[in-house]
Amino acid sequence: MEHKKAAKKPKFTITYIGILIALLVGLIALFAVLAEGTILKPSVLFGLTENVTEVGLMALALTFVITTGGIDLSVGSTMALSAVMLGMTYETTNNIALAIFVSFLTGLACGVLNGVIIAKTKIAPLVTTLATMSLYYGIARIISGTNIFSTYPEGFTFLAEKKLFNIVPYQFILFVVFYIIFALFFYRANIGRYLRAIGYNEKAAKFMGVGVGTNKFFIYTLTGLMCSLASIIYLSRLPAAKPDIGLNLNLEAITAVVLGGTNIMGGVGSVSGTFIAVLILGVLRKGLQLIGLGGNIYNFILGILLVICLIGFSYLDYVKKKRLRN
Amino acid sequence: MRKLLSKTLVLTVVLALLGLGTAGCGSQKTTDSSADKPSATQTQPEKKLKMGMIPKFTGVDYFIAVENGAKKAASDLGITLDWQGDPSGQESAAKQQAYIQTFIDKGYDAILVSALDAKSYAVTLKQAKEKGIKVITWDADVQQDARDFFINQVENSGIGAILMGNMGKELASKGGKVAIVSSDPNASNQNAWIKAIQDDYNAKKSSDYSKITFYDKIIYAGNNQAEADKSVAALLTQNPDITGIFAISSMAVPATAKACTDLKKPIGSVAIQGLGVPVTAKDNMTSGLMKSVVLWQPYDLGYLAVEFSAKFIKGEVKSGDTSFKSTLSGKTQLKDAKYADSHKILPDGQVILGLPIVYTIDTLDGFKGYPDANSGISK
Repeated sequence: MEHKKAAKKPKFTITYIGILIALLVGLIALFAVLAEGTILKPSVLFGLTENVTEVGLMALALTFVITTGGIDLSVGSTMALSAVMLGMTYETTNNIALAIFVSFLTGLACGVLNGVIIAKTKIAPLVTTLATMSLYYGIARIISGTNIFSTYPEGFTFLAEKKLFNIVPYQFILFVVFYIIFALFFYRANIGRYLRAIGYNEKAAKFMGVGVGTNKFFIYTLTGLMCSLASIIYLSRLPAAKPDIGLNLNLEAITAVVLGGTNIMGGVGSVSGTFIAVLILGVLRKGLQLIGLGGNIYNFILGILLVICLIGFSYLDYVKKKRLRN
Repeated sequence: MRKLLSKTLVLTVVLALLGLGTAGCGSQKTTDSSADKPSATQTQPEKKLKMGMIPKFTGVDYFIAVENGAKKAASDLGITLDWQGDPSGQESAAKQQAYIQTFIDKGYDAILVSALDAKSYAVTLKQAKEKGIKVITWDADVQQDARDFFINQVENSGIGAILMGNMGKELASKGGKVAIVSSDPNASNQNAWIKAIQDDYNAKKSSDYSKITFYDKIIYAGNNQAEADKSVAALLTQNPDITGIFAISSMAVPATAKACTDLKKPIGSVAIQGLGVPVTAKDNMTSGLMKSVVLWQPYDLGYLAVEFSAKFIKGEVKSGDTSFKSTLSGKTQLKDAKYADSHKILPDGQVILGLPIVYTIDTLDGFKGYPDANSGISK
């Protein structure tokens, strides 16, 4: 009896990834029909991956975070603050290397603050990052005032201009590389098991010897750094640093993680799912733009997707628990 | 094991896509150029031109007038015009870039944009040009190498001379401190006008404008009416010695008028020289708060932008030309004033619509395109 049930769980993982891939292909087909095939042009299909890298990098880091049952709402603000710091540093020192370094330092600081509070105190990640979200956004606004930092050196926008074989954006390659790195750590290294254990049952994990505090501190710091990287990518594409550039990305990144199959309560995580989900969101956004529906509809659909996923997975959890009890 | 399988599956998909891309790139040059490149050669049969037009934002008098003019030109010339923008308060350069990218994806023949920011999507515009798409800016320019032509409503120096000159006349006897209220520091058109005002002032500082000094900061009131109201009210409250305001964005004029009324400034204590849509400034002119308002015909600006772009695509006007004759040339600008026989094209690619217009209470009904598409159009 028990043996049969244990075999059931792994099958579920493959099937869901399959569903996601089917959804991705289906969406592309849908928009191909709705927008007269424009989306199938290689320049468009690969072009849309230009915009997913920022969300994607955040979502990869957030997968780790949400797997532990935590959350980070400050990702958008961290990215905005890193961008503003980069712009301001470059404008005052004309040293792009220094500016990039400062940007990473900012992301690191933001992540460390989150990490310290969440790892060391009993304050919930939701409230913590809600507060730091406002804090970082506020700092970004104060620093920039009415300025938009749009001076950057020649070649800084190379990411926006050059493509591999003239068709695959370099940002996308970067995203794939990071996906592979994150996936390797998540599925093959100890940290993946530790994170899932923390998410599934934190107390048990602690007694098992998992360094709960250390791991938690690490993932929030990592998230901060990924946000800085995202801000650099964003600026190389759209060289105008101002405080509100990342605001929508919170919703997108979290939706991508949840859609990807990571359980919001923790314990189950899927980096591969996040990867495909980010692509799905990219296709969705591009498709909506092609048929003339703007950002508001996109956010609306994101909200619906998020709700459906949350309810859906919660129901599946409930069904699973009921079966196990019987 | 299962997780490894799923990971491998995903990696395979990714590599397959990359492989598709590599294979696709071989045929990309040919398929893309036939799908994306617009029909710019005269040997092909007349295909209906498709243009995308992007204002700074929508839902505001000035751009509504432009839209009406542009759509009239599109229908007159048999062009498909795609007008895309966000409502005032929700606009951003990033959103404009998304529309530009969509126009590129759809292979439009021309992209017409009034830019919120002169630099941030220059790369995207250059990519459009590389694909053979004509890039025309209007109302607000981008950096010169990112566009083919800029349809400028007036010569920038002319605006400066008129505004500064009128301010000088209004404040001739009492002089005082004047301030400039603009929309935002990245708006290239407004920056050009500010410079023109300052140039004119510096030229005659010791003579005609000897009694006038400038407030040292430029107020950026934003593109949202409520914020503009707040900024100007703050300016006047903190500096009660201001006797004149240059209100050079469409939000600034109503904001300044509102601030003066709210702060109970007596009529005539603050001279307001500004650019604004006459219909919106009507109440202020009736009350005497403003003597006149300077603008042009945004309706005609929209019309010219579309007509010029169409002729540019067909090769009837090229870079290097010094003048352009449109259907507006020689026709009515306002009441008895007419446009010149042709539009000047400056060496840096600016196509000038015409001279600035000083609207007064008697002439403001000649404003074309707002509040209705037929307003001000003489039959």
